[in-house]
Amino acid sequence: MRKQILLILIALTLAGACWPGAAAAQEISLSVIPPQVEIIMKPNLSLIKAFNFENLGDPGVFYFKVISFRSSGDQGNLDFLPEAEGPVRFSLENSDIGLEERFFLKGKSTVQAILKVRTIENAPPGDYYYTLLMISEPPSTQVSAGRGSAILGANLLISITNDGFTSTTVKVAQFQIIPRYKFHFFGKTFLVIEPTDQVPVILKLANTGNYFVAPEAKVSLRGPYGIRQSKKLLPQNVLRNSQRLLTTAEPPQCERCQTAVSAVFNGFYFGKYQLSADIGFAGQNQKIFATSEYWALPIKLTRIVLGLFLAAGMLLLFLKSRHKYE
Amino acid sequence: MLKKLINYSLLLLLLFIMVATVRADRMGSTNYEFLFTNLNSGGTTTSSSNYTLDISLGQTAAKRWEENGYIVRAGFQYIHKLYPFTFTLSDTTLDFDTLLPNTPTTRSLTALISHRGQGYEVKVYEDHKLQTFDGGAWINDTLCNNDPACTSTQAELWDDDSDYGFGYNVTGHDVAPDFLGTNHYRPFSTSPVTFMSSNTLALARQSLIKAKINIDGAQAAGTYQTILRFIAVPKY
Repeated sequence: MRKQILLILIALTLAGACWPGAAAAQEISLSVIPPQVEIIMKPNLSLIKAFNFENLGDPGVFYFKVISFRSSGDQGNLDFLPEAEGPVRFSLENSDIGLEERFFLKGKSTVQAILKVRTIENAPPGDYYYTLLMISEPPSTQVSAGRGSAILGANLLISITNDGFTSTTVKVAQFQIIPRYKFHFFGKTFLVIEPTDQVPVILKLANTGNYFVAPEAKVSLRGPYGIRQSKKLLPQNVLRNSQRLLTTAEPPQCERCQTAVSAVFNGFYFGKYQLSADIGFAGQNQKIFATSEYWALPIKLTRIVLGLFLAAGMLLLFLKSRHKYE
Repeated sequence: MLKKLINYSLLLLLLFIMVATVRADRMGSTNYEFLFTNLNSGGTTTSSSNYTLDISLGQTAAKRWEENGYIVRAGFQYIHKLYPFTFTLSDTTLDFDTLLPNTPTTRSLTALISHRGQGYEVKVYEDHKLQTFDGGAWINDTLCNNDPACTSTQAELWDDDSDYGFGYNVTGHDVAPDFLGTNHYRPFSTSPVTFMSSNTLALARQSLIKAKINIDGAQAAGTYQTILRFIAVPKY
């Protein structure tokens, strides 16, 4: 009897130990610091930069990879290339992992990617852009499924120069308001808004040089009755051979805009206004200026008043003719 | 014996006195150096009516270029502290179990972003179409209702159960504007496509990604899989 109870107990213990538990979702939560690094370096040189990646989710298998990217669009988007290209070579200085080598990382733990960046001899001067990726290995399953992999990136903007100087070749690609009306008179275009309209401004810079720039721009508004308003734009990076829309720190809220804007001025306006952009570059004397102008006119009100006048005139004519026949 | 002990003690005492103070030194060799990011914690922007001054403690000096031939800046110039960029996927398996013909099956997961820099984007791509382990049979990527056909960058309506394929819908913060509602889908692409994007700082921005499969009666029996890769990157 005692033997039987013992056997049952052993069997129950084994069954309990081997019984599959409820399948839980595997959450992947990754963070990286710093999320971006800018490096200016000479050819044929190497340096080391550490990135701290933290796994805030469940344990998993990961690996690091470096790929190149290009600028895409005018709002800081990235267009990835499959591999790292250009005259920069990367490797990990970690003692236990290398690039594209799988490693296990516990939940709530950190791994430091000690990245060695090396420029080859006679590397052509210019900018080269890369992203260091931490990639999670997708889980395996035996059913029809989409197996997910989370990938987190940190950007490396690398400028190669022989003398430490990175030239700036920038021009204003677009600087104007988004008007409510456009009128063409004598070959000239007039941009017009209603007096109560918001004034959305677009400032796009085109970098035609070989090095990225971080312009410090201010947009100012000058109008009648001593109206002066200005907004400072963030020094966002404009990569080589690309355009970028500069924006204020606070996201500009524009109700009638179809596209992203740099800044929005609010207020009551009437008359002719001049808009100016003052663009500088940290550590350089070079400055760029741009101007644009627009009119704030009560077009809607004018239309209503004209309509009313027209209607009143027609009514008068009608009454007059009726009176005449009577 | 006692004399020896005294001699050794004196020798040890002398050694203690002679030990030089330990000093921090440059780490590395002639070929490389361990470099630390800027100490930006004390950085700030000060201003008056006449000037604006950005202070960033520990900013790499120009002299570093002359001596070592490089300058490194970490983080974003307009943010005076180094904040992490965080990306969370609520699940890594979209388990569709057994698929039935003309019966759409959906599975969801959430993507969460936190970033104090100006902007981020989240992209997705598939390694290949949903296919059996031997690659002999596959489920095509959806064309939605095919009126017009959706593409990897343009979501369209997909609510007709007689249109088959594999695709995804996204709702939530900073989602691409072509996802007009919960029935608008895109097919997965084999190259990364952005579905979530912002130009401003992101504090707990979240989206729900709903993957959908619909198969017809002629679909070969088998287990179909693909790998969906979700990439989160800060804007530069």
